[in-house]
Amino acid sequence: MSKLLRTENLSKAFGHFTAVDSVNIHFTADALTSIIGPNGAGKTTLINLLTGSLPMDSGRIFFKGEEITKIPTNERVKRGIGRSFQIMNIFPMLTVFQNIQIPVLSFLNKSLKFFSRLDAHGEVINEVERISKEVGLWNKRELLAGELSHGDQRLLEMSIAIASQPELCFLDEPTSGMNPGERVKILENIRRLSKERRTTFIIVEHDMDVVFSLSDRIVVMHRGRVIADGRPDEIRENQNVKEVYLGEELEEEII
Amino acid sequence: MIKHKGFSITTLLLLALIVFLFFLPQLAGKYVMYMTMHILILSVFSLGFNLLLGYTGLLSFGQAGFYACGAYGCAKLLLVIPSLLPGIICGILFAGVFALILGFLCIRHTRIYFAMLTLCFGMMIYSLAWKWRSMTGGDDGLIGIPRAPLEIPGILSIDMSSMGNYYYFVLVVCLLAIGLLYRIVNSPFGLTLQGIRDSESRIAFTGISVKNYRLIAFTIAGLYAGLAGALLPPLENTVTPPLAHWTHSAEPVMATLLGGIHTFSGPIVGAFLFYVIKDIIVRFTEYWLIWLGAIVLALVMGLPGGVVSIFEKRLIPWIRLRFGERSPR
Amino acid sequence: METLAFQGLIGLSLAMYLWLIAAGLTIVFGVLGILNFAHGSLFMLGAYFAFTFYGLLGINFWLSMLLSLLGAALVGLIMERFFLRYIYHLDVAYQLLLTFGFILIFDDAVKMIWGGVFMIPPMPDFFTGAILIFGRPFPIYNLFIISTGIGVAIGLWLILERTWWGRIIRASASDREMASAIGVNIPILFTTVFMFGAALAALGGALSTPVRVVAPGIGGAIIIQAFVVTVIGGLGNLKGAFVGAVIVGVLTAYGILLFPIFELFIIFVVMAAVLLLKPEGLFGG
Repeated sequence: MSKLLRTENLSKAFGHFTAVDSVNIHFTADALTSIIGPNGAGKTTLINLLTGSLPMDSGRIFFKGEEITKIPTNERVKRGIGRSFQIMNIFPMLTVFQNIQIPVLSFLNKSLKFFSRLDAHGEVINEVERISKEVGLWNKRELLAGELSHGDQRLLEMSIAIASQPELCFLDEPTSGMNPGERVKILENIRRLSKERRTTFIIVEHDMDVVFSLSDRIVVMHRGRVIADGRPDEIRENQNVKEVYLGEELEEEII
Repeated sequence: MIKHKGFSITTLLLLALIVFLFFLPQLAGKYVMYMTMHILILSVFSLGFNLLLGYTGLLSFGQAGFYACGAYGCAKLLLVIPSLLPGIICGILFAGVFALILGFLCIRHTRIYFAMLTLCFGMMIYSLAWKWRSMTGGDDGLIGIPRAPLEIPGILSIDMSSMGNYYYFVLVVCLLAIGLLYRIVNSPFGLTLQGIRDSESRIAFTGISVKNYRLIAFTIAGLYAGLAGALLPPLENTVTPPLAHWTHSAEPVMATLLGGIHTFSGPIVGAFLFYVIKDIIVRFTEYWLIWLGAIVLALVMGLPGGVVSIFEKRLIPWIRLRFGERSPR
Repeated sequence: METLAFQGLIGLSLAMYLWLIAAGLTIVFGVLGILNFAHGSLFMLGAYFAFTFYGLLGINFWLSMLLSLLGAALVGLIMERFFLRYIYHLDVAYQLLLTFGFILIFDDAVKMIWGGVFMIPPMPDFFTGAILIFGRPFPIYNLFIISTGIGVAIGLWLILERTWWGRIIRASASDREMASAIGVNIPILFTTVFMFGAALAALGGALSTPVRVVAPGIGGAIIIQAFVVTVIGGLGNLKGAFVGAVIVGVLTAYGILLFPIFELFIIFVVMAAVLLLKPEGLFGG
């Protein structure tokens, strides 16, 4: 399987704190991967580096064989990388419909059209309808995004990410703050989208049930490094991983 | 949140207003025409400003600089070629070029830096207008600018010396400009701007280059300021440096705050209110800036949505209830 | 050559009151996160107060300075406590608009109270005269300004680095929530810092009175220059504010000498150059 995304010695430090330490990692298409690790392990920083939200200190990134190290975020998105955010990041003053309309317009290269009416673009409207029906937000399409429930906002968050039809999509803690019912809904959507579309999901998660039930592959990070990488059953048996998590538990007990 | 679906009562009122404006010269005297022209000019100025604030989330305190570019650009050409259209177009283009260049320097920054920079660059234009005597006439400005006839060679030539004629010119031009901007904000481009306003980080992840879109919005705002400025010299026959001063930049800010940031028509309503309020205040005291400032404070602290928000939140639902209207979907 | 050096010194004294106002602006921004557009008005109020106490009422020079600072601090208190405090949670645009509203009010208020004409305050006796530097008479008062400016710089550094209050300010500037969590009373801190910033601006204004005219509109003029200083030096950085002030002050002085009439324009060109090369400012980021 060809490597969709590949890094070479990716590093990022904040002052004296090394968040990401010379990471060499790759992601292949069609393997739903979860990235796990204790708090501060560097997971979100890694995502930020890979998506271009943060500039790196050193290292290189390759996507579909081409180097994207110096390329800004919006260019990486155009090449096929997508992302949802840990902290809610939607367009609060626009309706659900408009929230999804924006990435669809961009994907169809219509964002610059300043003289045509929005409702004149039939294919855009159809596509927005399709996506919102897929995730179950169609009947809420006229609501303002800022007024949705937490769970619905997370769904919207994900819809915006997949509306750009990315080949590789990072989901940063997609189920955080959700009640069990909402969580089931999101997971169903991830499973379905993973099967139906050509999107490979890379998920950062803390909930181990979610991780072990969804993933084809698990990457474990600790202190900015990858300490384990393999199938769920391999990870479950991995000594290093146990120590890291057990160590964390011990520390918590002592404090 | 920016409403763009037509509501039948609003559309009816709008049409009535436009018809009324066309009959104004028959109904009222010169002073009212003069004031109405100023209101229309401020409307165009403020709409451009609000494209940046309400739609893109950028607060610019230097729009007067581009207004002055439009005014001086038009004036300089009119003094040489007494023909109205080339003068206006020259003013617009002159402002647009400045907006493009200065915009490139400003839009790459955070919104706070952006506000500072626009203030500084606006005053830079002011200092140029004030000091460069040979080009701009210094603090005396340019005088004797003709209200040149509207000429299209071979087709028409309309004399503009009567205020009535110039009023119709200003009215038509402003209505066209307003209509064009309405189209722009309700286009894919307009929606994308609102996305930038709501979440810069998010929209980058939809493939949009935030810088480029901001620059385009800034340039459009500059062009509109330039148009507003260009309409002035034939009306007043003089242009002076204070047109570029930050206190003049305060006018579209005020008008937009008054009328409402979050609607398209807010700046227009606000322009009207601004002139009414200024007219009233000036009869009682020469210190009208204090009142202006106090109104800004009151609006920011108490009524961020402006007058139009009262209209939308209270009046329209009441009318719906009363007359049984259903909003079109 | 001597002319250049001499003009540089003139520029340095101009830089000092730019530094005072920029310092206040930067501290307020660093701790409160607010860019106070009306900071130039506080400078102007300091100048008017000083002129009133010293020039019109004949109060002792040093006492006048102190009273001006207190007056400005009081104005700052009212601004923060009754207005700014209520909009911290709102979008940054509203903060900018609110402080902009204050500029309009102060500009006219000053005209109402003191009249619209410009006034030239008297020079205190013990500062009249000049000493010869580089062969030309350099006003003693300008030396006083320069030394005060440097004194404030050293004083600020000492306060921030060595005192308990300074430590709290630095902590709150970098992490407001954390500071609040460890017991810092944020509302009181904000009010006192704002008052302190206002006093700094007013000090600049008060100091400048004997060598500049006092007139409405000087607030607007000086805030533009303060912004240029801040952009060049980097917003939120005191060192940057000092260096930026020196650059702007000295360049303005040279501009007056070499390219009169366009000296203001040169400053904008320099600012634009800094923006192109290092957008966060020389010490920013």
